[in-house]
Amino acid sequence: MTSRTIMRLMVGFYILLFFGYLFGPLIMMGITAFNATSFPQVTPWEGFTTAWFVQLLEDDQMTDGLINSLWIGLGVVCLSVPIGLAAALMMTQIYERVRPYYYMVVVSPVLTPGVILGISTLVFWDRMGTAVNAEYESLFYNGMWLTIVGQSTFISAYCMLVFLARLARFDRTQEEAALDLGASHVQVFWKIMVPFLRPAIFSAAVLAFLTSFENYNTTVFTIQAESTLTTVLAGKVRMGTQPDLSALAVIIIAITLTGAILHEFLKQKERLKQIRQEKAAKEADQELAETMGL
Amino acid sequence: MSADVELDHLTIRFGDFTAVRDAHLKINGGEFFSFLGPSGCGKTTILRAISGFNDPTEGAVRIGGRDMLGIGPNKRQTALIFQNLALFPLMTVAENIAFGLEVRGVNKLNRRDKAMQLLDLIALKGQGDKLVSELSGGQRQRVAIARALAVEPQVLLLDEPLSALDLKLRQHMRTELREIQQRVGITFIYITHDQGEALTMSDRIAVMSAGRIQQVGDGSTIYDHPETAFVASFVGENNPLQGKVLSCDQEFAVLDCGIARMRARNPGGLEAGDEAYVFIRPENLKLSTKGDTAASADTPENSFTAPVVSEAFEGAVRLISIQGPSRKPIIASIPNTGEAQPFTPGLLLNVCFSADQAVALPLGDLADE
Ligand SMILES: Nc1ncnc2c1ncn2[C@@H]1O[C@H](COP(=O)(O)OP(=O)(O)OP(=O)(O)O)[C@@H](O)[C@H]1O
Ligand SMILES: [Mg+2]
Repeated sequence: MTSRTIMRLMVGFYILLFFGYLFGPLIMMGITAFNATSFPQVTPWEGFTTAWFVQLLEDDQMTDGLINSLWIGLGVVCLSVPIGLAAALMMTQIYERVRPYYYMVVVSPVLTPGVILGISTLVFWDRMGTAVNAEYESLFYNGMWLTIVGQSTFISAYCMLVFLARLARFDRTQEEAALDLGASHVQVFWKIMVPFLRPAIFSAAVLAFLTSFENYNTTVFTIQAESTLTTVLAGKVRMGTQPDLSALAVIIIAITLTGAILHEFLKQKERLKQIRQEKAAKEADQELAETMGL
Repeated sequence: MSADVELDHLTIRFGDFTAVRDAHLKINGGEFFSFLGPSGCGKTTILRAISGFNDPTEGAVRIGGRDMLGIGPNKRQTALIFQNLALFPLMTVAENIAFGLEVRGVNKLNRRDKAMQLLDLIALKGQGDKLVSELSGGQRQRVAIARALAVEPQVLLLDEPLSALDLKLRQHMRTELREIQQRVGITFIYITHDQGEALTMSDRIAVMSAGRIQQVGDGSTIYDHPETAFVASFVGENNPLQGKVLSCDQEFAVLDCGIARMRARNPGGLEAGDEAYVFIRPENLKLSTKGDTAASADTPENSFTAPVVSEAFEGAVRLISIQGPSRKPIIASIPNTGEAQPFTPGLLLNVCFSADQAVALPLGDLADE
């Protein structure tokens, strides 16, 4: 054996180890979802079954939590994306000298532990509710609402970062050109800014939804009597796991994979379109040169 | 309809920095007017003040006799073509052109008609549905012009619109721009640092340097009758010879320039004792070798003897560098007849020029090459 082949073997081994580390647990979990044993395990293999998926669907606690999670995710998207957008636009408008301080303030929720955000949201709304003598059924004590608000405190900062990155590439002369052609500031926002930000709005919404969906630290305090998928799961795991959790994991992985593949596919299409356009521009150049007899 | 534009002692400062200093001139309706000056001299700042993006620190901008103070860019009868064009990349060519009409609430059908009409004007018929990214540089250029013309402005402002194009296309677009201006008949205010562009297209030119307007006039006035040392050295090639004024008669002054006494026109009213430059263009210098009597027969007023430093061959002309009084050589250009013998370095030459073709101007900043 030459040193070259040894080297190759070692690299191969490392890659195997790396991917094993990344995907091993997921694959293992995927297999347990289909094993008939009543405890999540790969061996002994007692036969293929989809019973755990059925059990998962019939688990009311789980489906209720899931539905709550989806609603909260939607609420967070509706709240965080506009707030994040406003915060990012603000950043471009204020004096250059105060920008670092402003940035520090609006980004600080990202750096604050979720537990603290959860507790402080809870305390704040409770005090406010007491102060105005709100009823117990009111928004002040509503777990769903508090969770949306609590999560949005830091998720809107994430959204702002997404928007800031996009805005950094915005060409201010676009805005000026629109103004110069007679557009009002409102028209500039809707006709120039929003179309430019559209991809960022989409990314921010996806990011906000996913972050909300998987959040536990803040939610566990703000959700109170209600439950979300993460709090239900945490409760279940505390009592010992069952293969229906593996079934849930398989579903989530499948959705994620589909999403990723779809995203890649769309990106590829976009790339091809761009190449086509560049080619067209080059042809136009040539045509022009020919008609001018250069 | 075209409107006149008046800069009334316009000064614009950014903090402590004065970008435009006391600009005072009037641009007539329907005129093709250029601002010519080196990079950073404040051309864009003036244009942005006319279109409403910069406020005057002092003085005023008047369009059609009306003071524009407090009137936003979207309320002015001007359209600006940006240095980078600023076309909207997410819209088609037709949408770009019709944007100004769209924000004015013109309905879709009329917008489409107008866009078609303008596409015709800029020779891009049938290309309205393309995206901007599918167009060549010259085509984008014309879309920007059409987009600005669509709102029927009274004044069109152009900020170095040709600088991104390659040489051939630039020359082609010059004539095209001039044609469009004559067809639509509105005021064009054009900014450039390229004197060739300014001289070929404009009715009148304002030469700027460091925030100041140095001279306003038509192309030949600027070229033949510069009023400041900057204009003389910036527009076209010119040889400056520094000296002291010895005496003046009506139109001429005699200066002591070290190598010789020179007689030159004196438009600025220099007086005896003043320090000044004598400017003489390379094509106006006549060269003859010592003892060559044929050339010195018509005895122009000014002559001196100096050695050749080097010669550069430029095809149609030969550029001869001659040792002058300062470190920078004096350049003479003579037509290339294809038979004359080369000027070898060190060869002593008799250099002469007539007083009519030389001009004496007060000391001032020269344009750096
Ligand atoms: N908003 C601003 N704040 C501070 N300084 C500015 C601002 N705009 C322009 N300046 C300064 O004013 C001067 C003139 O700028 P301007 O853009 O008018 O030059 P220009 O003649 O158009 O140059 P170029 O040919 O390079 O475009 C420059 O020194 C520039 O740095
Ligand atoms: Mg400029």
